[in-house]
Amino acid sequence: MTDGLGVDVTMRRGTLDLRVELDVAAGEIVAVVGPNGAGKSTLLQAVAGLLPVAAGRIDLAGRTLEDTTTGLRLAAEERDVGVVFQDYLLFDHLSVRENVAFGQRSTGTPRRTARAIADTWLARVGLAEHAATRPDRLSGGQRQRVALVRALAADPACLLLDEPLAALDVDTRSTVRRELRDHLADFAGPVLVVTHEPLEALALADRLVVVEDGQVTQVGDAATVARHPRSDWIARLVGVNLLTGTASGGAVALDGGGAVRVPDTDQHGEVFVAVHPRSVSLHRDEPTGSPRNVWKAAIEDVEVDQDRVRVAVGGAPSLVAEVTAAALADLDLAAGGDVWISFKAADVTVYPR
Amino acid sequence: MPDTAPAAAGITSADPGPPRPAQGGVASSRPRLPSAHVVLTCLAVLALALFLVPLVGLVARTPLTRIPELIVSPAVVQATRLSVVTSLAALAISTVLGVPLAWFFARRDVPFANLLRAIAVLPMVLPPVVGGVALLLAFGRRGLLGGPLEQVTGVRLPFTTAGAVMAATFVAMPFLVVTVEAGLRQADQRLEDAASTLGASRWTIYRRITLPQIAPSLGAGMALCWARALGEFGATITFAGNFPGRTQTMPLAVYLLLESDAQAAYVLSLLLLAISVAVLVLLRGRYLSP
Repeated sequence: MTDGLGVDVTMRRGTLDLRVELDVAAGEIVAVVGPNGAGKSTLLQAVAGLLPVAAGRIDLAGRTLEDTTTGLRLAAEERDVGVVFQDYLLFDHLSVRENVAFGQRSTGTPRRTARAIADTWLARVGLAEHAATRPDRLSGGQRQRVALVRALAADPACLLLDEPLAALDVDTRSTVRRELRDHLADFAGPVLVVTHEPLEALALADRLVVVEDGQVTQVGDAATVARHPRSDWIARLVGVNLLTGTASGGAVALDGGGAVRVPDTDQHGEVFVAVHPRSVSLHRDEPTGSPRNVWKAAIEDVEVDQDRVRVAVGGAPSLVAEVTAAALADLDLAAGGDVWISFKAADVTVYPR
Repeated sequence: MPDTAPAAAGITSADPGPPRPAQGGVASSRPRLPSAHVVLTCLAVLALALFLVPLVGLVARTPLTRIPELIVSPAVVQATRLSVVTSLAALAISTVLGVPLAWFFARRDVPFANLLRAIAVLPMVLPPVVGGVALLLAFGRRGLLGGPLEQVTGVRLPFTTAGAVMAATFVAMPFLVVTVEAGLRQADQRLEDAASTLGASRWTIYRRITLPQIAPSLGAGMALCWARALGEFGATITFAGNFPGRTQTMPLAVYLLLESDAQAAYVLSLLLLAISVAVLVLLRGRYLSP
């Protein structure tokens, strides 16, 4: 881990106890995802040197930034850590060019050289013509790019991004996300992105670190986290029904009551059970045929999202089914009463807890 | 004022008339009190008159045709020159010392912060003559520090131009301190964080990020400070005395000229008024709009 970022810290912020250990290799993009208030931004500020850690150490590119056992703590300006803040924190009293040149000028680069470097970066993100403008005149997407190149132009050893797309409206978000992904791919050092949007994390990062309530609940690449979520929060956000239970011989006795037939007969002990909502069917009458998991349940909520409909059903366990609008019409919900739900054992994913 | 007319009509008319929708018919059965708006407006006009009439008097009684001649008279020129020098010196000292003091209050975790701030802003409410007496007891020839200071350095403050500067600084600096402190508290410190992650040292951050942010407050604080220093009377006459050319600033000269050459006093007063108006116009964004 010579060029990477190594973080192993504990912090206390208000009622939150944060305990995070993570490594980011050079050239790797790691997303720290978690619900609001999980301690993600606190972690980012600690790496940047804007908040002290209670215990632990932070290493970057072979250099120790902070180590509570030796009392070493480099100031933010000595860390070589570039930060893109959530609301960008651009200097509105300076031109776009001076914003981007700020890092170089602060570290002693002659004014002319610093401005030339800034212009090169601005050209790279298509903002050359806005160099003399004040940042508050720019659109959200443009401000985001200025914030990014302001951090990059200082030539940092690592890059931190705090909710980089949160301040953008939905329309520009996907464009900016794609551009951001390209620029981050060009950056040689480690990149840490903090976000509460799993989709953003999946789109931007090579690896995800899920932080909930101050603790790391899961680490893995995007595909693994999406397929095998290890917490309710991440399961809900990737749109999977996540159940917990105890497996034995092809069935899982669920913690909340009820049981599910599963494909793996060799799984034993405490497991996660993931069922994709699209695998869950709803019927007015008791279905016949192959599905192994069939039971009767009450509909609790119906949420229409374009041509898909998400139906929450109660009972043990409560599940979300995703059906087509046509299928929903067939159910004749106005008739009330319970519906039958079914899914195949083969559509259930089981993995150890 | 279109909205006062119906209210005025309301109290002068004796018969209740048809109940107006706004009152819902309930108020009409009670004895009429003068409308609150009318009472408050009358008092407000009275207050305005208190400010306006003296100004009118000053402008009306100043011999406008003699201004060119009086304004170059030795007494007026001498006092004006001294006032400019002492007030600018007081402004310079107040800025150099007052900005760090404002920073100290706004940014450092100072023990007994409220007590220290109270001491620093006390001159704003202290009768200036008391300030002059206090300065005399501290820096006078027999004062706490004044004696030793004169013995060691040969510098004498009381009854010198330096003393007049000190008196003006004493009463004027608090205005700068409170204004700049408010500006520092309003400034977004997260911008300073952002600058530090870009490698900027504390000095660079203060110069390139903080200072531009507090520039409006600093400008306002300096204008208020200078205006107050220019008008300083009580502490100056007590601590520095009233020596023409050395400590007799414009306000002191006005007071003295009223006895000997009243018209010159009026002209000086008008000059001070003009300067005050200029300062107010400079600060218009701060005090002339709500």
